[in-house]
Formats: sequence, structure tokens, C-alpha cells
Amino acid sequence: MLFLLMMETGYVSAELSTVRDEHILNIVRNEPDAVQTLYDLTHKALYGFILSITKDTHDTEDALQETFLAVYRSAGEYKPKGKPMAWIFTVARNAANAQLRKRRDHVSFEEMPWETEALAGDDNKDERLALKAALSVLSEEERQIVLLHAVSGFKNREIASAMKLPLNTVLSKYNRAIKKLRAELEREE
Amino acid sequence: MNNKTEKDLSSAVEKLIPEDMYERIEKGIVREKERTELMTAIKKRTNYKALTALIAACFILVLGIGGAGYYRNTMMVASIVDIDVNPSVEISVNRNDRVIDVKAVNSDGVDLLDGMELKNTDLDVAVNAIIGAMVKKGYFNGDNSQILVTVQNNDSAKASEIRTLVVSDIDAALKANSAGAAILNQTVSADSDAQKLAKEQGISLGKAVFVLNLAALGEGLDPAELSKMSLSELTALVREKGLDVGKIIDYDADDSLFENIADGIEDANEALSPVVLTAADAKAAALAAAGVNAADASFIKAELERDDGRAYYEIKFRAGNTVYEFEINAETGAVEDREEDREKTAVKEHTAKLTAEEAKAKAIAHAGVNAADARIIHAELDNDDGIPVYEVEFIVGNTEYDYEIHAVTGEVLSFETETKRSAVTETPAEPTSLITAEEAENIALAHAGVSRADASFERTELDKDDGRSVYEVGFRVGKTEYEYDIDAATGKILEFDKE
Repeated sequence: MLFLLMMETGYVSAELSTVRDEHILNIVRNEPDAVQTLYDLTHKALYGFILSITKDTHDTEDALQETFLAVYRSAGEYKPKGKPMAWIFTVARNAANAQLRKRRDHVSFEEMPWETEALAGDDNKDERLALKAALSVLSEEERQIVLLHAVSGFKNREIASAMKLPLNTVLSKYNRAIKKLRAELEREE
Repeated sequence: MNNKTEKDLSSAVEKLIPEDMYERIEKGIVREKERTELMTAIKKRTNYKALTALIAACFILVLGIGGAGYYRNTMMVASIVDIDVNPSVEISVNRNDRVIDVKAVNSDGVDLLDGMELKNTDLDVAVNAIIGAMVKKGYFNGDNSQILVTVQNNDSAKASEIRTLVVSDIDAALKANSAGAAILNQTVSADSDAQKLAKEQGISLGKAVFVLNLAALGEGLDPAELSKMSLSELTALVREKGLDVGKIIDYDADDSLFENIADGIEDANEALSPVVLTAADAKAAALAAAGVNAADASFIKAELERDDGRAYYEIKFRAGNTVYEFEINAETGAVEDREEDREKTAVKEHTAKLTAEEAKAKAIAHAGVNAADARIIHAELDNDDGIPVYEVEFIVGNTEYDYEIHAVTGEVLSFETETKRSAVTETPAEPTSLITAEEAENIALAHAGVSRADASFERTELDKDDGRSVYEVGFRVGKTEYEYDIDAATGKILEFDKE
């Protein structure tokens, strides 16, 4: 079962798996391009992760910006234990939650600007529906897992490590979430 | 199905990410950097104190020191307000006019500020509190009460805005406390003086600032004459006349007078020489000048350097078997110096079983860095007490790695890392918390692949090495001795030796 799931996950997170302690230590050392390098490697995954919490593109952008600022500010406090992504995701989760608290009058999902703006010029109905379904029918945890899986190509054990959940939990939640998504998409069609 | 849905999700999310996302992050980080740089600059800023103290004796004066030259790129956001009434205090504020720090400049100022907590208040609140305290201490009882306000901001409009604000704050505070004083206004563009002198005399801006301040310090000193003097001549003059340069530069008693003067000039230069280009811009300029495609080049170095009032990037990269070295002006992008070196590829390979390439690979893998990021300096076969050893040296970013790899077994015999601090901003490495001795031992054990039960520890000591705290861990397993240096702040292994 586990083996099958691993096979199924498809493309591998070549980018994320190259994030090392060194990338954060380079920021501490004030190396040129250190932040940009880290951004290049991680921003897509982080965007997906934060979006799964905030469900709003503006909040996600703000929280993503804050995430990198916080990483920059506190890189010196990072203790290199070979799990830089877990640390960065903790920072991102905090930024996302802070953003949620900050924005009391939260734009509801139905009015989300991405629907009308970001994807307006793009008539890929499938993509739009998939995202809409992910944001509406899934629980927050399921959404995080699915988005991490899909957007960043995270493997389930990497998700488990980043979210500090047991691998089994991630596997079952992932399965359930995919089923839910599939059902929702079939219903839409 | 999974894959299709996931791929849709992935590209839907990708489309949501704004194109300027990184630029926004970078702007935030630049602001953050400016803030830390400002704090450093504030500590170093003593240049105008001597000057202002002189004028303070006569008037209530408001100086807006502004203009285009100073701190153009690094200090866009902040102002420094000096209030001198004999108790002299210095208020540094951020761009929102919030107080970052209030410092006493003299002993009366220390008394005045005693017990006052003004950090994070608004500038007007701080000014009001300071003036109120001065009134209470009776500094405005006489008829000839004097205050000098000096505002420094890189933007002359902003400087004069703050000047107006502070003056009206002082006015209001004096009125509220039934005290009075006359107020005079004057705008001095001191920076253009320094720039003019630097240009006329062909000296660095930092030296011009120093010379101007020195001329203000002693009688009969002519800035133009001083400009022509070498640093050692200046040092001799300062010594001969007994001038107190501590007033105009940060004086470090551990260093010689000469070193102090040289450092003072360098500090001023650092604050004054503009940096417009990013390291990436400079890299691109160097590639263009060399006519090399970015894809063919592997960068060895891209560092901001400062030398005598000029800021430039030192760019070094390899393309094929040629190493290029450029100096790119950090303000204009002009190529100021270039060198090309074709390297010889002779590597000795005698009794070794490993090739130099394999040794490199071992070292890089051990360091946990990307081979693509590592610039090999050398990988040479050596004889260490009869053991054939590859000495592999390479650089990743600011860090230099030094390895000894057993040329037969491929075992890592020792390694050393050395991180050069960047010239741009030195974040003060104040370790927030240190790991415990036991944690340090565990890191060493894990690295050696040895269980605690098998190891007999010989010493675990916390040492200060070059300002950083380092655990020296030594233990023995059977006949093998392990020696580790572990950064107590980060837990990183700095050195390792095995015998």
C-alpha cells in the first residue's frame, strides 16, 4: 500500500529536496543571492501551503512576503539539523496564521479575486475547478496535504515531516482528500 | 486521475503567484537591511559632534544637514536629531519618526536621561519629555538659554520637515513649562563641502570628511593642506598637536592611532560610497564584458568590496579552463579591472587509488553541498606521514572548505570550514542561545557514527574563538582519537580530525 502510494505521487520535488541547512546559513552569512536562491527553490511550495491556510491570494502574498522576511531575520537562530524545510514551514504557518488574525473582515472564498482576476485570461476550466474544489470541499489539513503534494511535488513522508504529522495520518488524509476532490469534480461535471 | 487533478492544481496555483512577488520580498529585505545598517551607522556617527558643540555655545540653531550625497542608498529611511543645551542628547528615529534610540553625548546628558525610557515612542513625545526634563533641571532659568538642534537625513526635504517639527515641539514644550528661548534657523549642506573637497583634492569622501572634521578640531589647520598629507603624516600631526580624534572617529584603545584613523576613514567611506548594483547585476556585467554565456560560467566569487571610497564587486568565475576576475563598479557597473588566467590541469596521481575527481566528489558529498555550487581551489595529492592524502580545497559562497581525503580508502581524515564575513552588512553574531555540552557531544558522536557507550570522552570545553563560542569535543574509540570543533550557536561542525 505504502509502496503503491509512493509510486503514485508522480513527479519528484527536485527543487525542495535540494534545500539544505547551507541555504539558511548562507543567509546568516549575508551571501549575495542567498535569499533569492532560497526563494527560487521554495516559493511555489510555500505559496501553495499558505494558500491552503488563508484561502485568499492577497493574504497569501502578504504572508509569503512575511515568511521570507522572518526567515531572513531569524536565520541566525536556526539550528542546522538537516531539516530546513520543516523550519521554513513552521515560519510560514506562523506568518499565515498571523495574517488571518490581522484580516478580520476576511474575503470569503466565493468572492476570491483569483477567480475573476488571476485566472480570467485563462480559460483552463479544469485548473480553475480543481483549485476551487480544493479550497471549498477539503478541510484545512487535507488541503495542506494535497496542495503540498500537488504544487510542490512533496512526497508524503516529506509532508509528514514538514507538518509534524505521523506518516500514516498523512497517507490516510491524502487518500481521503483525493477521493473527496474526485467526487466534487465529477459532481461539477 | 490523481495526477491530472494534481497537475491542474499545481498550474492553477503557479498562475496565482504574482510576477513581482520576489521583488516585493526583496524590497522588504532591503528595508530590513537598511534598518540594521542604520543602527551600525548610528553607532559610528560622531562626525558632526565636534562641529555642533562649537555652535551650540552661541545660538539656538537648527541645522538641516541634507542633500543628495550622504547615505544615498543605505540610509534612505532615518533621521538623527541632536539636541544640545550642554546636556547633549542624540535621538535616532526611523522613517516613521519613531525613536529607535536616545543616547547621551555628555555626562550632563547621562544625568538628564537617567530613568527615561524613550525607545519606540514618537519623536514629538521624546522631544517633549527631554525638554520637560531640561526645564525641571533648571537649564532654562537664565536669560541666555541655548538649544542647538541638528537634524540629519539624507533627504534635505525630510530633514527640513523634521527640523520644523522638532522646533515646534520644542517651542510647545517650552511654553507648556513656562520657559522661553529664541530660535534661529540655518541650513548647512555639509556633505557638499566634503564632496567638493574630495573632488578638488582627488581624495576619498571618507578622507575628506575626516580632514574637515580634523580642521574643525584644531586651530590653524587647513583642509586643503591636510588633504595632501598621507595617513602617517596625519597620524604624526594628530600626535604632535595632541588632537583628540576620539571626538571625530570611533576610537578603539586596543589599536594604534594610525589604525584608528585608517578605520575612521574607511567607516566614513563605507557609509558614503553608493551601491546601486546587486551582486547579480555585477555578475551579468562581468559575463557581458568577458563575452561568456551565463550557462557556461561557474562563479567563484561575487563580493562587494570597498576600497578608498569606491565600492565595487569582485567577480570571479570560471568558463572552460579560464578563470576570469573582474572588478565592477558598484554604482555604475563599469569594468574597472579585469584579469584572465588559463589554468594548468596537472594533478599528481601516484600510489593513490582514488582519482582527484573522486576525492573532490567525496569532500563535496561530505560537506553536504551541491557540486554545482562548489568552486574547487585545488585538489592535490600529498604525502602525510606516508599516507597518500588528497588535499581538497573548495569554496561555496563565503565558506571555504579544506579537506584531507585518504587517497586509498576515500575516508575523510580531516576537514575545516572557514566562513568569510561579508563586507556588506555584518550582522552582529550574538548567539541567542548556545547548545549544551551534551548536545555538542551528540553532534560529534552522530557525525563519527559512534554510540556514546563506545566513546570515552577526553574533554568537552566551551571556548571563545574569534568572537564565536565553540565547543571543543575530544573522545577516543579504541585506538582512534576524534577531535571536533562545534559552533555552540548553530551546532555546526567547524573542524574535525581523526587519528
